[in-house]
Amino acid sequence: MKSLYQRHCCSIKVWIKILFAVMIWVSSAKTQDAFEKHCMGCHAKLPASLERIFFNYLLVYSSQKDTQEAIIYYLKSPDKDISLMSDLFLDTFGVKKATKLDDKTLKEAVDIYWKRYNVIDKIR
Amino acid sequence: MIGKNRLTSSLLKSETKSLVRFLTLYILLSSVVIVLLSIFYYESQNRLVLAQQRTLLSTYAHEMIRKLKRTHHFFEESPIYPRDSRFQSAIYDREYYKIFSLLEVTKVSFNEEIYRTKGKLHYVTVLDNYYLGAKYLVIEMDDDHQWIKATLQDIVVFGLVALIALALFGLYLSRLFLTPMRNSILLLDRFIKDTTHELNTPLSAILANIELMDTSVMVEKNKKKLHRINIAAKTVSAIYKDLTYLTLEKDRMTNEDIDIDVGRLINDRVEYFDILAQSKNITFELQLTPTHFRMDKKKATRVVDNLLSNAIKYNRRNGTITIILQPNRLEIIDSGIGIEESKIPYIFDRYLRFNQSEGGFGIGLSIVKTILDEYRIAIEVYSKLDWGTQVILTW
Repeated sequence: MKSLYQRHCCSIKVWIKILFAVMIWVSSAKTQDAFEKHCMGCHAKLPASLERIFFNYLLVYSSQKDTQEAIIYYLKSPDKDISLMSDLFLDTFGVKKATKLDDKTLKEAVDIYWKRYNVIDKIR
Repeated sequence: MIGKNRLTSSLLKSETKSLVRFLTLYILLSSVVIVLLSIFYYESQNRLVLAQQRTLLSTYAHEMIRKLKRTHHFFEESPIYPRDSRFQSAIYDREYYKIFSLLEVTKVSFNEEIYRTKGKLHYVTVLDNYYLGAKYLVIEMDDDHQWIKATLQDIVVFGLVALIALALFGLYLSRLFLTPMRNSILLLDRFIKDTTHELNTPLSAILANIELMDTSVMVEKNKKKLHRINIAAKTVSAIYKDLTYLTLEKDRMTNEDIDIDVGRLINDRVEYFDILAQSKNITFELQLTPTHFRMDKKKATRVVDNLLSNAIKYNRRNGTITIILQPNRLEIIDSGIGIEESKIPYIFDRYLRFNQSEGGFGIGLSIVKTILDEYRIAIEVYSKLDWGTQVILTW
């Protein structure tokens, strides 16, 4: 049987742990950019990588301007007919829901997406 | 048809002028045609060579597209742009932004499929699938200049051959066109030559008999009539001498050059023409410095006679003729009707007469010029309408 003192100490440790966890979560949320914060969470659970999706967009839209415009349009108005993913993928995972992000955040996230995967800076 | 002979060879001067003008124009136009044809030939050769190169470059482009496809799909593992030792290449997105380039000549014309630039050949192809985001693939190869050398060589050789052939044809054509003109001149010469022979005896008889006539026993009325006959006979005699010179004496191969007292010769000829001058009440003003010149006397006489004859013929009534003789210079100035400035360059042309009111064949000054040229004597003519004419000989 634990004494009252021991039980008290134990509940304090739990609270401290919870506090640390909250602090870590808050600090990590602050360092995440818009892309990591709003995109990577969901896409991490999907079998198609964000890089592969980026190359699918490049294959169809070519330039930075057209690619970013197409991504933003799809995120706002997702549709099976204009999706670049395979039918198998769409049948398995369905079409995503329309984004609720504001235009500024959306643009910021897509800019980061372009910078992260664009070919121009990486090809050699 | 009248054959050309030595007597009439000088007639071909105007013919030569027309011939040269026609040939110049003809060769100029022929050259323009040859240049245009050369440009057309060069362009067609250029297109032919480009068409041959297009096949090769198209094959390279297809190979390159396959490699780009592979790179696109395995970019994460190997982001290496495909290279080929046979050519250079570059890829551009749909907004002509360069994705990657190995080109030596970086300026690309996306409006042309194949073109030459700074010693390189560029072939631009549009991709159906934009691998790596590329819409345009540019293949660059060294331009082979051998065809240019061969083409230019062809142009020079065939151009020259064509030009020579056209020039010869033009020469033949021009001679064909000029034949009627030449025949007319030869006919005129032959006529003058034949007529001259027939004039000699009667003219000599008239002049001799006038000299022999005793005017002291004549009444004044008959004296005047004889005076007029004398003037007319001397005018005809001057024309006769010109024609004789032109048709017979001109072709004497050797000149009988002697030391001539030019002042004395002028005095003699002034005296001879005095009777003509008196008929128009023209007075002579002579300023003669003793001067000698070595020349054929008959030719010197023809020169002086023609210049004096013209000065009298084209003078006004009561006019003057001033003759100034200096060493190496003779001036004959009349106060006559003058010649238009624009016509002065043509006064030595044969059979050309600017004033139809006076008689003559228009051969006097032509003879003068021929003789002066032979003795390297320069002639200058200054004239103004209604003022007179100044002829200056210098030697």
